[in-house]
Amino acid sequence: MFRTVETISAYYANPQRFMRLAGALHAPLWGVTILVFAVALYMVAHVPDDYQQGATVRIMFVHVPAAWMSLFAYSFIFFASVTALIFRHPVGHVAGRAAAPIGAVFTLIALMTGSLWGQPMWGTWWVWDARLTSVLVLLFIYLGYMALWQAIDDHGQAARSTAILAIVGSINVPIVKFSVDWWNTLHQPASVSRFARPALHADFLYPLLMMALAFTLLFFALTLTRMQMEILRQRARARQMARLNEADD
Amino acid sequence: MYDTYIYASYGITFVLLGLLIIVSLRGLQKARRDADKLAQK
Repeated sequence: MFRTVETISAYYANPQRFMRLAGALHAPLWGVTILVFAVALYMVAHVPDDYQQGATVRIMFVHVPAAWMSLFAYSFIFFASVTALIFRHPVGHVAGRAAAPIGAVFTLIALMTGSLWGQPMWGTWWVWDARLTSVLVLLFIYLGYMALWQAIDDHGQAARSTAILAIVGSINVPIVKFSVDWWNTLHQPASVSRFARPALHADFLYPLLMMALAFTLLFFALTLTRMQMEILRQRARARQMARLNEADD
Repeated sequence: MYDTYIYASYGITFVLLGLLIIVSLRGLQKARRDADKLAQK
């Protein structure tokens, strides 16, 4: 299994090959994403009111997938950075840079919808509890990562520095995930887990999982789009530099 | 009673995601155009 992943990864280390694959996947991936989003929204529209929360339970279908994706996107950037730094995979830096704004937007959505859910349910827009604060820190790490890419002119230096920042910042991911177990928080513990029976009724669970699938597909469609954009920009930059060097000679 | 909170949540989500989609697709389009222009020179 690891060998297969390694072989595929090495094959697509060539940006030219990666661009061919991305070009072929681009339209079908966007098509499937739109279709799954339509099905998920249809399912959410037919969800009954919760016996305790009433209609506000509907906020869960955007808040929870956005929160899951904020952690997933960061884990993706972490693995891309490790691959780029240790295995010198040239597409790794591109993947990390492409996924950062997407992860930042998902984190912002999780924070804003959480606040809009908190006001009617908890009676407050914000509390400085461990879960909310660690997610806010996650947003700042995303913004810092994106700012560092912009701040350094030398592309190689920027790639290495941002990869190190992403790896160091990954310490916050388990803190976000387990904050509700480690500390006494206003935020509730996880209702959906791989290892335990979900605390959600099937009427809520299946639309939630469908929405999570739609968000995941959107993440990959956007990442692929932004990776293509990034590789084309890098190529253009390299070509311009080569022309300037020729002109100097 | 809480409709405003629900509409605001969905509104924020789809406006932010929509903007991200538009910026990304337009960015790719522009990068393709620029690459073509450079290749023609």
